[in-house]
Amino acid sequence: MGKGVVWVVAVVGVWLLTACGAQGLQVKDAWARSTPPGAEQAAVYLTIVNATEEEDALVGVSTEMAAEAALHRSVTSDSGTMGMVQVQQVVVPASGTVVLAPGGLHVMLMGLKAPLQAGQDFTLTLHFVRAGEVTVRVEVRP
Amino acid sequence: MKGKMGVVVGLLLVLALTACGRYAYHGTVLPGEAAPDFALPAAQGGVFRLSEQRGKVVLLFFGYTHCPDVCPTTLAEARQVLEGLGEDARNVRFVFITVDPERDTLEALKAYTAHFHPDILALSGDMDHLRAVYEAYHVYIERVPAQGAATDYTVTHTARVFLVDPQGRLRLSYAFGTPWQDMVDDVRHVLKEGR
Repeated sequence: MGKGVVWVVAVVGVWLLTACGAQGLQVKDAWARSTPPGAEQAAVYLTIVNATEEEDALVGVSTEMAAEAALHRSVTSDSGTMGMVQVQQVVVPASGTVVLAPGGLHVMLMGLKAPLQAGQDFTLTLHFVRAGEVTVRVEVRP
Repeated sequence: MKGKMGVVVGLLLVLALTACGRYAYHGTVLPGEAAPDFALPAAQGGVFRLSEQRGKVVLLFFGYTHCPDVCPTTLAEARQVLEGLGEDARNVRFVFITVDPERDTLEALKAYTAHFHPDILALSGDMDHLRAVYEAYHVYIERVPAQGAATDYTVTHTARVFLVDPQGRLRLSYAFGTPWQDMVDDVRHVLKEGR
């Protein structure tokens, strides 16, 4: 009987820990397209999942791969032109998800130190107001 | 009785033929006027003249090599289109025309487009010639100073892909983000129609 109770407590304990671990703010599926030789710029795409009850905001990005990294958004006009604007922050709503994807929000890398080659990966650090620094591996795809 | 049945069958046949005969294009259908001709130096060598491409479908895209998001995404799609077309790709030219001739040398353009697919042609030229092409295709271009220190400026530009049919008519255009399969379907249809 005593052994049984210990087991139940252990199992429930592990389950609680796992459940708690999945909460908070997560950055996943970070990727960039491989770049042509000599390219100075690249874009990084990723998904931010905020499992907390509080709104958060991405306010900065940094990486060793480039001289400069910034948050940008590609904007389409009614006439079909596309341009880029720098954004100061990306708000991530409470219990919300924000996707950085081609043709929209992205992390722009300027002054690439080396071409991004398919199959490689590199480190990107994201700075959030509440969650602080979150570091992810960015997968380079063809 | 037999006569009535014949009429019904006949109507059904007409309906079936009409339904099969009408292909709905995925792209935006244009009036189909003659595509404005131009001749520009190609990074791959020689001069590319649009009017010499009769019999082929030409897909035109305007962009620049310092463009990190929209242009690589479109060229990656061009690769999927060319690969997806298989044998039919022989009758298709994907052409990338720079909107930033100042930074895009022919060498830079060649390395850039070859990264996506060796058959993508990259064109440049002097600003007067290029400007005439932009105007003819209603391509809007604006240089925007960049806020960062690592790059001088970006170029806001029309990001549609234009389709010129084998008879040299400007037939369709595609918004950014059009699935490549949709373009493959349209190109195949335009090629079949031209035969």
